[in-house]
Amino acid sequence: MKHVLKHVKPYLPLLITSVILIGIQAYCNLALPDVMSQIVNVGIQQYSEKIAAAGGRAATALIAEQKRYIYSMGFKMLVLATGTSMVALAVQFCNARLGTGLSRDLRKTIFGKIESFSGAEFDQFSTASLITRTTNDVQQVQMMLTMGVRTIVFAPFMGIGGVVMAMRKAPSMAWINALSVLLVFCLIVVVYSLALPRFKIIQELVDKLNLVARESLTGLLVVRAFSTQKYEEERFDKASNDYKKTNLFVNRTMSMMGPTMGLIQTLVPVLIVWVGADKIAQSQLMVGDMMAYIQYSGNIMGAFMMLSSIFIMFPRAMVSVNRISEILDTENIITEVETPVTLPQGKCEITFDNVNFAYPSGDGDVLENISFTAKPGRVTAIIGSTGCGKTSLINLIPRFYDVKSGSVKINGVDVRDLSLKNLRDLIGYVPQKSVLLSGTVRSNLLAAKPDATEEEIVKACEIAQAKSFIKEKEEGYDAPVSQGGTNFSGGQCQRLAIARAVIKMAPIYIFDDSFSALDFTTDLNLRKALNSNLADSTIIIVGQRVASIMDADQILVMDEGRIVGKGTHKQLLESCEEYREIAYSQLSEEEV
Amino acid sequence: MANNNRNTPVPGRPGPGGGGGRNAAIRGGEKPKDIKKTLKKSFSYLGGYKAGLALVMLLAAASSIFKVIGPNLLGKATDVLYTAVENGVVTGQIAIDYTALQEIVFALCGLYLVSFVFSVVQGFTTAQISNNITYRMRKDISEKINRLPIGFFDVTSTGDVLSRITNDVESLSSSLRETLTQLASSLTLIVGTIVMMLSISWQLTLIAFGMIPVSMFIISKIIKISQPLYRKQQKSLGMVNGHVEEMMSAHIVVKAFNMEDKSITDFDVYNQELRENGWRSRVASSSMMPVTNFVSNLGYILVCILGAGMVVQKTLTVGNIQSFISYIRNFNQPIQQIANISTML
Ligand SMILES: Nc1ncnc2c1ncn2[C@@H]1O[C@H](COP(=O)(O)OP(=O)(O)O)[C@@H](O)[C@H]1O
Ligand SMILES: [Mg+2]
Repeated sequence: MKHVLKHVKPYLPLLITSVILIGIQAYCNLALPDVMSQIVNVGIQQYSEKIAAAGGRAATALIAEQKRYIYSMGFKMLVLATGTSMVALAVQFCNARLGTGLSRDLRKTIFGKIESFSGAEFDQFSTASLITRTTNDVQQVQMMLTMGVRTIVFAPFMGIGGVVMAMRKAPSMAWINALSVLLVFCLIVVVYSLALPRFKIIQELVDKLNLVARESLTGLLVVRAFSTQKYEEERFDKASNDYKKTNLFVNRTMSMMGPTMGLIQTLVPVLIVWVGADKIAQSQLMVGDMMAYIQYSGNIMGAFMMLSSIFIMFPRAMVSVNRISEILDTENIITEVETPVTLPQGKCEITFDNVNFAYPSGDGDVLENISFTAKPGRVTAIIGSTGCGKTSLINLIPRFYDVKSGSVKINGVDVRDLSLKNLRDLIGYVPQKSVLLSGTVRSNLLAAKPDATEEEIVKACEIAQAKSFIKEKEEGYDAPVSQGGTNFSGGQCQRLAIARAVIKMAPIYIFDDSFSALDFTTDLNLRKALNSNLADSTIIIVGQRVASIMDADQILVMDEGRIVGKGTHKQLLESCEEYREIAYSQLSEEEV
Repeated sequence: MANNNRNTPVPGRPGPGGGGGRNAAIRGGEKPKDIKKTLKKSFSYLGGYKAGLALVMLLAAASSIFKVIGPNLLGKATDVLYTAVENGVVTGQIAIDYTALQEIVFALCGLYLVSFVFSVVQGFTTAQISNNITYRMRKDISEKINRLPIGFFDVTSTGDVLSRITNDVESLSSSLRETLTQLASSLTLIVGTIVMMLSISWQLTLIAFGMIPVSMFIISKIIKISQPLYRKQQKSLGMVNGHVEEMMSAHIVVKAFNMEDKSITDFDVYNQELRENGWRSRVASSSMMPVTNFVSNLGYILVCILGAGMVVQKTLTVGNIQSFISYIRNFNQPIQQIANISTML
């Protein structure tokens, strides 16, 4: 909540203006029945009495005067009605500015926060939930604010104002108002105390329903394979049935509310007439005042109802507020030191020194005792089965995650002592999934190096073996790329992702399984081009194919988070059992 | 130059390409086309409950009829009082006809109680029906999931399917509940109110009716202004959502290439655009209420003034004015509801 309130602060003047205007609006609304009662009391009753008493010429004059009086009252009402609407318009304007401004600021803060997340914080939320929080939840808060302010302010003004006006008309009938408010209050309390606990149960049942559905969705292949559809359907049916029963009760309870409220609202005027009859008989009350009183009693009850609707709206919005706060309260795990060391672009030697690593969200170490050195101008390859920790290992270099113990150093400087920007500027990173951004081929490359020249772009694509298929595109380098690169084949995406990294001409290169979708010749040409163009860079290649890494200067063989072999292809064939296994399974006798 | 390149919307971004289908639910506001399809489908579910639905509509209508008679009777009670006051001027003693008053009060209580019972029964039945319907919908969806080709789940995210099972079915259920009863009760309320108004004074009814075209005219004008604004707002909402979505799924690349600042600058542009289009759209659509309210108040004022004139000429009673004011309020409610709903489409 404090986050949201902090964001309201700059809009305080707007908020105050809105509150004042709402007050004026309520006043105008309440004044209308008062004028009407004057028309009846004075305009009709008193003038008629006078006219009856006067008779003759005096009566004609009085009739004209009566007419004027009624018209002047009508004019007064017109002014009030116009005022109400103008003020209401102004209120809507204030609230719209307030609501959209606040949600803009909130969105900005949330988005900025998320962009500061590293992998560790990012893992805590699913991508989908991050999106909902920045968009839907903010929208929800905006709704609460614009509608809520209007209701929270307008309802008390109308309620209290209604009581004051009613008291002025007939103080002796105040108990009727008290009674009606009490009745409405009881109704609300009874209905909510019956329904609210069930709301919670309903939420639980919805979650249950979700869970069952999610399980049968994620386990879909298994379900299909083992033909357990029937079982799944029954499980879902049970959850759905439970939900139906509880929901029926709540719906019925809530459906009582409207009619009961209606009953109270209609019977109170009857009561006012019945009680008012005696007061009128004793000349304590005028008929016009009684009519106004009826209208005020409606206002008072209406205000009370309006307020109670807040209690429905508020918890819903609070859910959104909490979900937003969860993001803003997340502390960044990857932080920068206050006085970072600066490493210039140049030869970089990477050293892993006895590194252990575990995911904050996962259990157990994913990497254990990792030590190796990757030299500039050399290719270090990492091979191993899926899930053995290759990606985890290389993600420690650009600090998507931090080590648990040990250290990762570049030229002897711990990566944690560099600024993140400096560190990541040193690295050309090709992720395992070649995530391309929507835009064009050119815009994707420019994202990595905003000041790249045309030659640099062409050169990078040439090295990445992407030039040939870009040339075939009608728009060439301006060929559109859809989000995630879905309009390119897997191999083309990989080559574009490589070109994006290559254009940086960085001292360090990390290729995470980036050649997997390439055919053998392209793979070979690409590696040749990389070797000759990135001669001084430290290159780390993660691979699955022995053929594409066997020329590396150093090969690390990984198994279950450990390095089980280190050396050249030849050395490893002799010394490393795991490597031999992989090699013999992939290559023919002669190739080995 | 680099900036220009990335800020211009690129063909393929909001389009129906690969990711589009999955993201549609997250990105957009409601789309009328989908609403139409769902409505059609949901009406097919209603088929099995024809008898129940007929009963619900009948009960809602009956409840409304009883409610409509009320204000007229209450006006008669006021007249009893006013006549006593009027006669009092001559006799010097206000003598209220308590038997007449009592009769009216009893009748009123009876009317309202009957109306209450009807609407409670109606509410219960509606809850039952709508619950059965949603239960069946869920069941059908669950069964369908197990029959759909596996490929469907590659393009449709789990979250999307889940939200269809729970949220969408839920909102459909509540809208069914509301539309069904509102249709029946609003219709009777309008017809009943017109009959009652005519029975009091055709002149005043004419005035009340004169307000409808004025209201409708203003509503249609406002819609004409607000709808394009609303569409613009939804479009910029889509841009913001799209950007957030893309940057979230490309998070690792954003980090690796130090693109956070650029991403945030781009976001600010979309965000600001959403703000600008957002408040304009809100102001346009929310101006509906004050404006229609003004027209409604205009009716109230005219009834008060002209009614008072007619009372003076003894062609109308004070109680009639009171009843008529209630009826005008009744009458304007559905109009305002229409106005509010129409801005959201
Ligand atoms: N974000 C994460 N959170 C928790 N555990 C993870 C995460 N990413 C990967 N893992 C786990 O770490 C282990 C190593 O994964 P990874 O480094 O991706 O392997 P590889 O790249 O060799 O296929 C696996 O057991 C995987 O389940
Ligand atoms: Mg991997």
